[in-house]
Amino acid sequence: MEAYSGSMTSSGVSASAHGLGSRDHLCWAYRQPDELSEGVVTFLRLGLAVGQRALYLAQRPAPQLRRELAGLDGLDDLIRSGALEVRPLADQHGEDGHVDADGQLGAYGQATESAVASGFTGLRVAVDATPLVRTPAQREAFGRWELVADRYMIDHPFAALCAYDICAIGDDVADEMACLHPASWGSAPNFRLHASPLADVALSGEVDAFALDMFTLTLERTVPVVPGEDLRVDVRDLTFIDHRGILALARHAHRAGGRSVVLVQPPPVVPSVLELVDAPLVRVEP
Amino acid sequence: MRTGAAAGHRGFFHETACYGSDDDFVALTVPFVEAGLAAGEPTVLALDRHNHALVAEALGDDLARVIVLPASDQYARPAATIAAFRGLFADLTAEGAAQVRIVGDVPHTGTGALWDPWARYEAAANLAYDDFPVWGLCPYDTRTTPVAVLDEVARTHPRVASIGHGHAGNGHTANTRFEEPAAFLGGRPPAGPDPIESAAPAAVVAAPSPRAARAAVAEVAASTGLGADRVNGLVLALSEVVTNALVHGEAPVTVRAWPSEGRIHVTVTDAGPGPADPFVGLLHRPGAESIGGHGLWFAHQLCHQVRMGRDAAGFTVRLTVWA
Repeated sequence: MEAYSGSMTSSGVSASAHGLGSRDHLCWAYRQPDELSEGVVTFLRLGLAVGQRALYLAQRPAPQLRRELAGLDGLDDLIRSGALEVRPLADQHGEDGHVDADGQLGAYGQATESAVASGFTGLRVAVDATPLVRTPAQREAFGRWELVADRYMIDHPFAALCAYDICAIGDDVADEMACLHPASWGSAPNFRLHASPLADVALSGEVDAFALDMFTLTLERTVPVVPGEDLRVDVRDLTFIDHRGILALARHAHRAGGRSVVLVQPPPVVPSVLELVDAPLVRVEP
Repeated sequence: MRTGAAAGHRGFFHETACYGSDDDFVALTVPFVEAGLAAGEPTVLALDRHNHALVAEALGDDLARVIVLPASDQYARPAATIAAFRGLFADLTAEGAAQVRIVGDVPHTGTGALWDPWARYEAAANLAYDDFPVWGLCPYDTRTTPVAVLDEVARTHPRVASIGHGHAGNGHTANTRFEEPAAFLGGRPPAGPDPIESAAPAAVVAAPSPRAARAAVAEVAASTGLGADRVNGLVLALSEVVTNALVHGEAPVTVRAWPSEGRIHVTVTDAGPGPADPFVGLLHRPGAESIGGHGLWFAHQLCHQVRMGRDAAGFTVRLTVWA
């Protein structure tokens, strides 16, 4: 997935929206309701322009959601034709607010296939997921779904914008969620864990002493390890990692019964670190 | 069983000797090497080119039985020297060596190196190698070694060898001028500023996160022409030192960088007193993490030069890499 140079201005999303493609998984940490509208409209408009079906979900009544999308040209026609749908969040994610990754994948997979069957090029969803990440248990469940969704997006025409209200959840939780997306607006997490076509998971950005707690937490929550198997990590877009980060990966794989950690396409900092620490369970693959 | 003067000694037998001629150098070192070979003890030469040629000529075919490590590689940086020798000693003793003998030419001002890091090395070596049965002979050439260096050599070696002329054989005695390494290191004046610090730094980062410090220094390093591996090593070292300053030091923390052609010098200053351990960075000891020793040991492995100093502004770590 492309990295965005997404820049936020006080008025919301600027030209950064250019460069979005049909396969996008974007986190948007917003502060104002009109920032949310602007971002959702920008995101959905880009999908509609390339023939995707658009869906907007939030925990608000449908008439209000339609008002939030007033910036879309021909809104009523889009809704009438089935190219755009707005739906209260509970319909898609269940009332208890704990998402189940497998159930989600089934539902969104079906919706994507149905969009394609109806002649659309794919499905593009914007979700205001704020109510789904209020508690640690919710974040664990939603975090797992984020990674499963990202994996699905690699080879299916499904794109998603996950919006979070920073004022409601706080900066730390916003970072916790943003780091599970290959790109984000409004939040710049130190590292990102997302899907990779080359490995079990991709790790990008920077992992150092100050990012370690969140890195460990995110690994434990979201990155599955198959007992007896290697955990392969695509680190092509990793710019920095220290011994703490590498040892955290090894610990995570080991605790979960995995074999080794294989760092795929490592940046030069990785061999420098491995020369200095004893990490027999970590291998690199050029 | 260990042979020679070190027989019965436990741990590192650290000996120095002064010589003033090539003949004396040969008289001092060749019997030491030959006795080691005769006893089946692994014997290591880490000598400069001139001294190596002298010993090689005297040993003849026996040279093939000696482990040869060029001094220019082995003595590039003190912390790397310690790490490399410890690895070698561990391997040799694991293979059953009762004693390892080594003759090494330690760099100093007279050979074109800064002495301060090597003075610290000579003191730290007493602890660094003490878990191995090693007899180390560090000969110093009185024709090239400054008097001030010889004075500190005498204070960092617990044993001294003398050349026995005629039939007497070489002498090996305890050195009464030896000082406990921690006391020696604690009494040394702290490292002062690099000359380049009199110019304005190209980058100053106040109260940085390690991430911001890495980004700022990587940016100014781009103008130095240094290779990516050098810059990566520096950035990794810097990240550790800034983390130490934030975790163990006192605010404010300031990073400054002076790039020049083929070199970059970076300082990290915090207002605290710095680590109390005089061996910090040189020895990788258990529990080092809790006092920031882990990060400083990393920094010593990754940079050409690491110096630590205290002044009115607080504690400063100076990191330098060059091409």
